[in-house]
Amino acid sequence: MTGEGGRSPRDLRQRLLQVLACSALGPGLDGVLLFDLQPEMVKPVADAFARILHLRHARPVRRVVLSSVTGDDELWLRPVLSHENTGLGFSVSPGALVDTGADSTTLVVVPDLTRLSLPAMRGAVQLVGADVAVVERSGFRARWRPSARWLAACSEAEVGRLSPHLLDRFPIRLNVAGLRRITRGSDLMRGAVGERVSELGWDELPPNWRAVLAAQRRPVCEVSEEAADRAVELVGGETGGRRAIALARIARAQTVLAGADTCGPARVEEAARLIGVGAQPVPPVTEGSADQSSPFVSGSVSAGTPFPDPPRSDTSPSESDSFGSAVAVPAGSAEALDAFPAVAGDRRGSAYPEDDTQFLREFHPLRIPWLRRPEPSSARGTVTGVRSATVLRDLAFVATVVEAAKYQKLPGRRALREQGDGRLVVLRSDFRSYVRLPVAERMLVLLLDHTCRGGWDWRTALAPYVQWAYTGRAAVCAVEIGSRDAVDELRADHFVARSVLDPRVSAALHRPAGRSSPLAHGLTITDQLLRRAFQQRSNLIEAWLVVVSDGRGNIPLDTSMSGRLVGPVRRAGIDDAMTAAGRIGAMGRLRLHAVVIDAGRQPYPDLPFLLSDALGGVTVAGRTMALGERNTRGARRAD
Amino acid sequence: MSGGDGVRVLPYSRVVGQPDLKLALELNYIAPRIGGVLISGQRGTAKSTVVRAFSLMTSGELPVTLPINATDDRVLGGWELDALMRGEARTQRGLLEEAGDKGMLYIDEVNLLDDHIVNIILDVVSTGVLSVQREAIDTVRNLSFGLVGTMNPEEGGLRPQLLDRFGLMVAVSELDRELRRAMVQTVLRFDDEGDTASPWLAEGLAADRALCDRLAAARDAVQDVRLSEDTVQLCADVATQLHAVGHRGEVVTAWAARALAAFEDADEVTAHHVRRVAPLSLRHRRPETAHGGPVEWTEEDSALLDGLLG
Repeated sequence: MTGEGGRSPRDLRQRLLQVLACSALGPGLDGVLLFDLQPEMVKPVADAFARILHLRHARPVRRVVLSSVTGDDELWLRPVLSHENTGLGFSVSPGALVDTGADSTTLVVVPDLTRLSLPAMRGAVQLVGADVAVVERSGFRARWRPSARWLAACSEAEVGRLSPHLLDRFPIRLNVAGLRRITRGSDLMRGAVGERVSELGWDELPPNWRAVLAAQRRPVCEVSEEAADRAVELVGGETGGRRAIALARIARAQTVLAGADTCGPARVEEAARLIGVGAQPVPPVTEGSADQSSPFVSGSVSAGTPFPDPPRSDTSPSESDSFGSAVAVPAGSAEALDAFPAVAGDRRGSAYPEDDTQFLREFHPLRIPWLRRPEPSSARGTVTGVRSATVLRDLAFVATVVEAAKYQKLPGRRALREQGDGRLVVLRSDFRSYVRLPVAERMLVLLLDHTCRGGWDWRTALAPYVQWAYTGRAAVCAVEIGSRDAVDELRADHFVARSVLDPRVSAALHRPAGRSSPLAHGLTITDQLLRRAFQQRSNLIEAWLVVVSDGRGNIPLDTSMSGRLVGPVRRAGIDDAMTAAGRIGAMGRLRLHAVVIDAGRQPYPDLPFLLSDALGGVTVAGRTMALGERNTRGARRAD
Repeated sequence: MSGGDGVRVLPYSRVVGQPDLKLALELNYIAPRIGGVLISGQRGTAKSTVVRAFSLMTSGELPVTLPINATDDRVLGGWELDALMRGEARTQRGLLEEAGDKGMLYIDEVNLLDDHIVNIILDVVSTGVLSVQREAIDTVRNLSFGLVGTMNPEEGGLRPQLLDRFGLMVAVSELDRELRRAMVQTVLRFDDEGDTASPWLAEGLAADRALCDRLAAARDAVQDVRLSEDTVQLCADVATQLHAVGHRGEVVTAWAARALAAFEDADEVTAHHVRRVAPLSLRHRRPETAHGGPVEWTEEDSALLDGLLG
């Protein structure tokens, strides 16, 4: 029986055990990323890894599972309530990711990396493969040398959703599509009578590997210059050096596991075959050399044959329309889900699929998003003060303790303490919780091109959208171009207001027109604003993008960015604007409605329509036009 | 080299390549008024390793580090929570205060820092005053420290205000194949010998000590290095030609050139020194970068400098 991609399940298990053993042996191979691991196999794989780590370090393995709801405070510190002789005690101890203790080995399991919470992703970036880790939170501080192993799973088709920065933290990659539980009759019988059985073929770990793993010190293994050179060659033109280092480290670990003491180029090639790094055909290995490949893998993968296809999954997600039909006037709430189909690259099975995968991730996926989160979950907005707590949620611990401290000398408090007990007495009335700024669930993004106005009062055309923003308590992002008051006429200005009642919004609607129209820059800024607003974990439920423009951008994007106008502009300003609008349209957000209000200017009346097409939105008439002019436009559109 | 807490860091002298990055850190050490270094580079380019190794070499300890998980009470300072729970009021110094004592604050992944924390840092760095009026704490302290930050530009840029606070900026260069091979071998060798008393490590540490002595001597001498009116004019011309935003660029260029002259044991700053440091001090002050654009240094920019400075 063979699995997908022509690899047998046994071969997959062996490859997997080999990469887990390499990670345990290390050093510097702390992160293992498994592509297309079936959800039901996460636990068996984690069990096998834990057993290997236990064999390696001879101490208990502490398992930490991270999910989509893991928050910062759970990761870095842990409030501990303890029962003491004199009552309850409270202290703060290291959190799940702070592996400062030498009494256990930490194994962090991430069942689905693409759905990991933002704090946990940021934690992974800080910890995996780092020399030093530091935590400074809420009075707690620690510095340590991270030694936890990370086991993460991720669908290869969805790898484009992840930050390359995060993916780069995982030096060991393996596609395990087709990995299944072992269902031998003997194991079923043993399992039926309650005996613990390995679901991953733990017993297939060769005895010599067990001996190497159990040894107190990892044997020293010299990596030759040729091996290092081959590692650099195999990873090609990577930007940093991590992949070459990882490949050389895996090769060294394999060499040690095989009982050899010299790691040559063939070992590096074997490591490349193991994890699926694309490479040139390998020259045959001479018999009897000290650098023979391990029979464990090369038993099925001959060193002289071309590289085998890595395993691959047939479970590509289906395509779906990313755009719904746009409507011209705000209505009720839109869908809360977005259709953002993941499309795999054409190098499925590669160790580094992110290199060829379509860009699907959020804008700056590891940054903390803006505060566009809903009321009334008060643990979200910026803290502006404290108040008496009514619920035990979002407590301000320091303010609570300070409040309690004021009354410690009063007789009522003293009576609650034992004689000689100097500890703090905290009563219900002392509890304080944070006061936070309200945060908006809706957003109106206005792109105002002042050059298209020319005496037209655009307030009527904008009224439905502004009214929607007012009644929905929406935040407002205003991007302005072509104003005579602009700081730099080659660039767009923008501001973010908490609501339409902000006086800046009114002022923006009445600014005098200038000469230039950096529409491309305005749309680029709009793109960034929207992407950040929709960033992951944000609960923005609806947004409107309203563009008021005639589409006649006359400043190329390069000019806006550099502040220097070089050569004739021609169509560059319009083309750049369409490209920027296309990027917004490509976001495919169902919660975003785009509308272009046509300023009705001549010539080039088609430009607003082209702009709305690029944005994936609709065009509405803004300026009232004479009938003759309207007919002319209709004729042009029909052409 | 050990930084305590079981932390091992490759000796600074054993770091392969990255001459610009090393030079920027060294100049900032010689002339702290430069105001810090921003290191931008793709993942896996040893940015953090170099900063930690440099700190260990020059101060014998790891830098005061502001992680992206920091909360404002640890940045500004606050109360020791455990002590408060025992009924004792003991203040806990914040990272900014520690950085003020040691002269440097290192921010790893600076572009991933919460905006709220960035605002606090900007406030202190621009005014030189740390004023804490919260949670029954009332302190005002003058502080001065340089910022050293590392960032991966794939995760976004910095706000212009923060960008401007870094005196120098380095875009970490890619290594050629030969250096990559050397880098792989160095890392693997450090894996094996990092915890041992190997001659290879001892050699690296000895080189570190020699370099540290040289840097200290340059730091003492930098005030005596002459900066002529012509050279000052040259710094201003370079900043003007590169359309540098603001005037911090020419000031930092002059300081960095002076530090380089001191490091090279010269008595006077020359055009050669200005030419060497100008890409570091002006790269992030050009309009496109200051407005969120890419940080690129093109052949045209180099040609422009060559034309001005020879």
